[in-house]
Amino acid sequence: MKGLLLKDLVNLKQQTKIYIIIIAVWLAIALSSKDGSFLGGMICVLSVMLPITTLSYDEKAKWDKYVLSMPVSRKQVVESKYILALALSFIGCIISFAFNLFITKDASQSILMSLAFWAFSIFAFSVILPLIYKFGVEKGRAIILIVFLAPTVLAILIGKLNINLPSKEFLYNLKFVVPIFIIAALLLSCYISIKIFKNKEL
Amino acid sequence: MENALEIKGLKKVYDRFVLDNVNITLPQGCIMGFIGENGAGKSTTIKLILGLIKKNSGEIKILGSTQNNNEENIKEHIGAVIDESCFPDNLCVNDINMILKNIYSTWEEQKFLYYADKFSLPVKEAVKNYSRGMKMKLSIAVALSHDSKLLILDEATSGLDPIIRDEILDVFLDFIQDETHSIFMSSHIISDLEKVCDYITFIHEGKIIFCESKDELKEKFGILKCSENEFLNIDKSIIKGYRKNNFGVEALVYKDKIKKDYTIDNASIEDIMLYYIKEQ
Repeated sequence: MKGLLLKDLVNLKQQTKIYIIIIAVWLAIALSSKDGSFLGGMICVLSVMLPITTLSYDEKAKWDKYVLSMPVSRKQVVESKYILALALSFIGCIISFAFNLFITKDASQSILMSLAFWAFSIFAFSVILPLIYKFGVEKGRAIILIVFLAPTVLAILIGKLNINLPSKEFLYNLKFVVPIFIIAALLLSCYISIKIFKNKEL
Repeated sequence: MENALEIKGLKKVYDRFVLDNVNITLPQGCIMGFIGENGAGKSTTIKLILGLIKKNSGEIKILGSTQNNNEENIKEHIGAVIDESCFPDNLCVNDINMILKNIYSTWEEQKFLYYADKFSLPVKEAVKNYSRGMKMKLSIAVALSHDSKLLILDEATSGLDPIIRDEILDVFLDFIQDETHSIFMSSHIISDLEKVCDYITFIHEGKIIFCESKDELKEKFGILKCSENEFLNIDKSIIKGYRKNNFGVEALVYKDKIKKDYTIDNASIEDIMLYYIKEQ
């Protein structure tokens, strides 16, 4: 497992240099506009893109075939991707919180926003990863676009249709339901991905 | 002494191709060459051995184990080289060493760096800049750098120049010095197989045609060159396959059954393979 994670992290080293530059640019934009939410959103997208990039590299090298000749189980191969995604999205959450705090000086809002983006990251890759395991990375890219566009479309629809937004109490209570929902989605996603991968002919 | 590889009644069904009743036995301490035309089922068989695809029926035993339990433990002792399969682009030899240290419990860093040096692999260069030959050499170095008892090689020497191929064959012969080590290798470069193999297995259209000792094969068969008239007079049961050319006929014959007055040349494994197919 450790070996698999190391492989992904080393493989991503080059990419991260580019991403640091991009994040620095967004940070500058966020500072000037005094709004950290765009930055937070972008970090969220990045933290989902990175594990998917590793899947794309794997596909290109036909790595899965090779690694299964080693003392590594199919379950471990899938689990390592989930651990990677969780770890990267958590780092994204911390960075997003730190930047937000720096920009807005509002701790509670920063925490809430960072956690919300983290929850969305986890939900996003919980949806995307099984689909990539089933259909491959190329088709997966189309799915990623849909997953990230969906909240925006949803927000526009809600605005246009004048649906009554849930009350503040309701949203407050969500605070307890959302983590459970996210963890459930994550575990279900991992279970499904493992099942798909176990049956895949390589 | 248990067999390194035992395959019984292996079957795999695809839409347009069926691998049927494959039986292969590789005794420990031996090298087996696996030959067949493109599409005959070599890679399919190797994928089945490695568990990359699922069999429809049959039994595969590697180093005495059927792989149902302790699957990972067996793979500690298998070194595989699969055509086209390699490490992701941005890794270099040093990275790969660090990664494999954490995958194989029997990883031998010194050995790996020794082979990397021996095969002239640049230690800090990313795999994406490697030529095809270098990628193969890298996979071979990896296969040799942990406690492998069985090397499974799918076209491991294709794409390599004759000089490095010779060096690698020497490395394989060195590997086999240890009696507990065995090699199962598929290749189109039959001259290589002839140099090092003890056994030859020939697969054709999904079926095993023969699985025999190389020396016995060469003793059994010979090449007869004669005119067409002479050929017509020969008992057909002696002939395994034949080919007409400008000078007459060339036929693969059973050495012990042909009459003594004919001149019989030695048959190479390639000849045997070609004539067997011509007979079909």
